[in-house]
Amino acid sequence: METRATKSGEGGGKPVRIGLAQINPSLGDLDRNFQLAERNLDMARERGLTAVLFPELSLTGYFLKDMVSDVAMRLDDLRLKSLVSKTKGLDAAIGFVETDGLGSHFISMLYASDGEAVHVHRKVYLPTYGMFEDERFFTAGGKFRAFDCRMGRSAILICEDFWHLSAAYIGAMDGAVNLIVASNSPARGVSMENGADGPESRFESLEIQRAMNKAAAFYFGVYVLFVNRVGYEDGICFGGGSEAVDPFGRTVAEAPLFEEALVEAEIDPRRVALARLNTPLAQDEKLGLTIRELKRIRDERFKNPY
Amino acid sequence: MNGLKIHTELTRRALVGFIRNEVRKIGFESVVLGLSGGVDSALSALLAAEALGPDKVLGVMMPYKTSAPDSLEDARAVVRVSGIRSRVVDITPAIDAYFDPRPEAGALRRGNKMARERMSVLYDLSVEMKALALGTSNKTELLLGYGTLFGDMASALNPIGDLYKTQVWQLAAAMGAPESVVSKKPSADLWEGQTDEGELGFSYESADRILYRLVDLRWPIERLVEEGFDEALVRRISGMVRMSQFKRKPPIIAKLSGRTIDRDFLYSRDWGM
Repeated sequence: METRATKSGEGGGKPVRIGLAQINPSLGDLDRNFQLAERNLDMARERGLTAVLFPELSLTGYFLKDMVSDVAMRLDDLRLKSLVSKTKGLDAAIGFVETDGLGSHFISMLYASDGEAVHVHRKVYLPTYGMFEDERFFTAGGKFRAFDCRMGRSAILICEDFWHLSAAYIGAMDGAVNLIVASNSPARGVSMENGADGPESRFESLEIQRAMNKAAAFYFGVYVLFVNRVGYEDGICFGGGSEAVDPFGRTVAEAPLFEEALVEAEIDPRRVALARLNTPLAQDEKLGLTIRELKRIRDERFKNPY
Repeated sequence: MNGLKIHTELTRRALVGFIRNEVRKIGFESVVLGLSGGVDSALSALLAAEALGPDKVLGVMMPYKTSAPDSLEDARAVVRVSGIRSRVVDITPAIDAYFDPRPEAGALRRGNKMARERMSVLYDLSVEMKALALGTSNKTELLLGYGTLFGDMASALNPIGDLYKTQVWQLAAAMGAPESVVSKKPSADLWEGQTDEGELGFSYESADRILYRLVDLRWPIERLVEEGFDEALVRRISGMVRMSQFKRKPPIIAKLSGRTIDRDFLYSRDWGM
């Protein structure tokens, strides 16, 4: 018989205030982007925030192409270690290009806590269609993991990762009550087809993202902390629109479109508990059944199982 | 289906941001653009004025002796509405100096030369003004190949290249472009009585409805025909798009090495910016 899936004893923490650092990094300019990161760490510290979350590739910019190897850093890189040491009294999720020193490069997020590196996530889903060519230049990561930090148990997903609901599912089943979604989402879609009207309208790409943020928050009873960048690269607009969505699926903090901002949000474990008390989707999830069925499907329907 | 109807306020913000960011990022403050009196350059001018400040935008009117007189009037109206700086550079002497010994040259050669002369003037003025040349080609003409290679198609940055003609009209009207500019029949004004739609043989409304389905929605031709579009027109437009692809790419280079420009030497234009 299935038991309630979430681990007990993870909740009961106090609310914390965190910052979504919606920044505009300069393409390929590590010096400038390191300085930008430090300024935001200082601002977060000044405001008494517990954690500050940066977008995907916050230290490098996005359309790197052949610059990937120029800006890549190993985890023991002195510049990276120096930045990590500047997270004393703070938690921070920082985006960079990680290399293993042997020709592989990853789109990675480093989570640092009080001056120490605590967790690294390598982007698993590398979009390579239309305008995207991540897989041309990067190697895919191989896992999704939840980890403990001062925000509470969290999982990091990078951009396209979150567009596969299975990734958020794994994070939630691994006990995450916060999904950190660090993105570089290009703004697309200005047509009126989505019925949007008026000055509060957003790009279609952002409307879809918000729908996904809300759905995941509700499905899994988690905070979804979506942090996107702003700025332009080769005419492509990164529209911002970062937001924090609570476990009831409500947007509790929101950044503007187009502009840099450090947006504050409160993460309250009691809201996770209340949402799951009202609607125990996470607890009632039949993980064993899901795994059995997926194995069956893999064996029956996919001739060459992954 | 409402795909061609744009949210003008959102589009305006995105394009103003584009100009402001991409100009200043590489260390410039100003732009120059050709002001033909048409709606495309009017829209580019209005966007640039908002992005950089009107005093940082120079609209250059470059008439030839056969240009329609109301082109200049309409261009001046755009200058008034937008508040930008302006200058007139008559390209007649330069063009006539070239063609006087070539009386056999037809309208196409003369038209292309004029377009390239205008580009040449703009790029020269861009150095004088320490500015970037702002493009004014819209998505419809870029897809149809209805523009002069290295002429009006040349620019440093183009804010309206992803807007169909019918969308340019929407945004221009929303941003206060002069009524006469928005409502007049588009024309390259390269010879007397020339109109785009007369030359192309179809209206921009038709073209945009077809192009949006072919390009943005990736419909096969058969589906457009099922929807009721005229097959001959759809095939003609589809053919024009395919046959003009060469205008939208840099020149082909014979590959010899392991790392060839634009093939395996891959960097964003904003390299390190």
